[in-house]
Amino acid sequence: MKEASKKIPTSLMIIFIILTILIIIASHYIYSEGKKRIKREKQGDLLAIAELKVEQIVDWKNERLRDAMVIQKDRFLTKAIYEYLKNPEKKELKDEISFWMRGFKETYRYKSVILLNKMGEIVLYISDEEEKLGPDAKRVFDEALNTKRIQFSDLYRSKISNVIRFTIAVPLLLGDGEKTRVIAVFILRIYPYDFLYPFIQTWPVRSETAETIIIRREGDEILFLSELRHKKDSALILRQPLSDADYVTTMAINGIEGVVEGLDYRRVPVVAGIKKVPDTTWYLIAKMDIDEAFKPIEGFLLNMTVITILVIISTGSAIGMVWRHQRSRYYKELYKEELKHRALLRHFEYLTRYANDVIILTDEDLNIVEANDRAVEFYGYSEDEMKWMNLKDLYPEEERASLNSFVERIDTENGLIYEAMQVNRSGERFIAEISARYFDIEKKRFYQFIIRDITEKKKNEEELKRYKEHLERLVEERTAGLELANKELEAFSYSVSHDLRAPLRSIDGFSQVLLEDYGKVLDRVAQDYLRRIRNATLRMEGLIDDLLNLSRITRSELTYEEVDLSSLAKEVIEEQIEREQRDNVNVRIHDGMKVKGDAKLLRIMLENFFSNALKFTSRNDRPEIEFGMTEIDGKLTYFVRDNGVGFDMSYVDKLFKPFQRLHSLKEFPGTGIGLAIIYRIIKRHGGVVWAEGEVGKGARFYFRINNI
Amino acid sequence: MNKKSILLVEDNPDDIDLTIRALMKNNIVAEIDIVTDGAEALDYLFGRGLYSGRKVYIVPHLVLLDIKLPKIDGFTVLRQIRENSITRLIPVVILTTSNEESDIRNGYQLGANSYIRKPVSFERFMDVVKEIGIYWLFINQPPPLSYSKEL
Repeated sequence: MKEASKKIPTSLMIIFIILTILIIIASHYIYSEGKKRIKREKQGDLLAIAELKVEQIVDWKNERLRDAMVIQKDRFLTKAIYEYLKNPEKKELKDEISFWMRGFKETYRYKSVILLNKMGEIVLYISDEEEKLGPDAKRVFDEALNTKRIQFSDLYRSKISNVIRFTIAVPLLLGDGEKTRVIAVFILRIYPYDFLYPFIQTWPVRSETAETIIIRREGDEILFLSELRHKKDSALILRQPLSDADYVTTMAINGIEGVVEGLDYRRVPVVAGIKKVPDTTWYLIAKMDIDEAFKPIEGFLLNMTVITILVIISTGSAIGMVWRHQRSRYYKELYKEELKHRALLRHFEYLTRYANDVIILTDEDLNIVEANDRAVEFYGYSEDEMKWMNLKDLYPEEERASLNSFVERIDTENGLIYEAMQVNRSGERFIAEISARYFDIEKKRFYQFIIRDITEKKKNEEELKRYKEHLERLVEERTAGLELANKELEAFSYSVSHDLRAPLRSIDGFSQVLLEDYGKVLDRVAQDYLRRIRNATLRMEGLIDDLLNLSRITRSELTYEEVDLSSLAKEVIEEQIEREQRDNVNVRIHDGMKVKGDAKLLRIMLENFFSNALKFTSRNDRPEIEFGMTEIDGKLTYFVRDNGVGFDMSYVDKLFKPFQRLHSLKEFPGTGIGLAIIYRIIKRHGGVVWAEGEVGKGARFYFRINNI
Repeated sequence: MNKKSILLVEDNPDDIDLTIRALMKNNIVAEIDIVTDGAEALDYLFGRGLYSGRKVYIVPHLVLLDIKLPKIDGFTVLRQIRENSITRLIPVVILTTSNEESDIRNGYQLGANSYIRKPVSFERFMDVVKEIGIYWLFINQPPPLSYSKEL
């Protein structure tokens, strides 16, 4: 198995680094795009706010202009004022104008509504303020008087009361065209804290640092017109030199419109939307600290960083897991291998240590290197002793020389199994079967001997051999006895055929001689006795012949061959019918009956069957004999049937016994050997035979031969 | 001299009597020499012992030989007959009570010219002996005898 290092593999490392780089690039891209988007949004917001504020200022100014124009176009008012200026004593006129002025002031929420005549003297004065007219008011008055048009002052700080004001001068005109002349001027004063500043200072969303400021240029300086968020009471007081271009205010004055980044009056970096207010010297700046404006970017950066780190970590973990998985698999397999190895070792140790056989390991010179427990137990030496011994020490003196030849054979035959005498510590000897083989370890030869005590085995073998010999002897004896018996039987048969017959011939012969030579002296009774003697002699001859035949059948050796019973039967019965001239017998023999058996004996069997059948049907008018086959109990069975005299089933047991007759000699001649011969022949063929019959109705013989 | 001669080798005196009777009754005229055991038969044929003076070249025209004989059995006698140049061609008919297959086979193997079982029935025995005598002594052309040369 490949060695797995504990370090993460380089391939995984490279994959991890590439993935990390890709993730960082991707996050950086997402971040910079997001940052741009956030900036764009913020800048757009600021610009939109600036534009909105400028619009509001313009609207507000236009409203003021309309207010002024309402006054200017009011001919009744002009006339009334005109009248009043001519006749200042007319009190009701003065009241009426004052009343209107108060109404106007309240309605449109001016701070002051002041009526001046064309010399600039105050005619009527409706105001919340103490101060009447300052130089700034005078200047606007002069412009209005000269231009005959409505004039707006800039924002200014009153030199008398130090109050910031915005003043409108409305010339009241009389006459048309060239003749038009100013009869009086209304001065309308507005307090910017009431109107302008509040809406400038409002911000559409909550913000810590956002503010809108209005500035204008005064000489080489920038004048802040509005109240500042971060510097109280700075309106129309705070000034800034134009020289420092880092200020957003400077940029505004320098004509830059749109979004810029720079420093504000606190020297804090801000992002600002700049818009010039039309028809004024004002610049409106909507700004916010970069810190706040771009705070979402920080958050976004933080998020992105966190996400990136998380992604990198998870990538790392994923790769780590892959690695760990690989490693764990490796270790698992290593563990398994180790287990297997240990199991093998233990198995081997177990095998050798507790093996039933002695196992001995020797070096080239047969010095014992290793021996198992059995060896110790077997030879009676301790394990340490064994290791100082030579294999030869385990052999009896006289056999040690032969060991060398065994070792030679082990070398040449690549292992050897041999039997040798062994001797143990106490000098006891035993026969061992030794299985030996060699093996080489690092060019050094070792021999391994597996030694098994076969003393017991040998003993058993010898006993077995003795038994076998005994058995063989027994068989021989029995066979000899049998042979002897057979020989005796043969000798007996021989003497029966020879010696028993010879006297019969003498009896018969001399009986005849008596009849022939002395017939004249013997009376009829004597002659009849002689004839009886001769009959009995002949019967005795028949019996002897039958006995001989029976013994021959028992003794003769069987020669098995295929025998066609059908054709054999036909041959036999035809012979018999011809010999006994029984042409009237109806014979039926089935075809195709074939058996394996001894042809000669089977012929004798059939001869006996048929001669019996012929004999017992001899008194029948229509004798019938049938030889065929059928199936009984699922087995092929042959039968010989006749319609002769039959027999009584109660004597069926006697039927097949030799010399048993169921009929008298007078009825039917015979010795009663036929069925006994049949029985023996069938038995010798390993078959069975039985009979069925009924008196007067014939007999039926069934038989089976061994092969069926 | 034209007289036919028969050597009857038979130990049973009854059978000897019956055989002679049968021959005579059937008018078979022949000189019948009788020996009652195998050894005597051989002595007779080879001119030994009791028969030492006998002219061995005068061989019988027929030997009727029983198998079961005292001293030397019929088969041994037959073998010696067939082994000897003088007696080798003599017609030998085995006349015995045995019908054992082995006896029959043995007889023919040793060169018997015929094998006949003695019937128990005397009538049939008479017939058999008559047939044998007529056939072997009168019908059958005997082998040329060797004694003429000796003479």
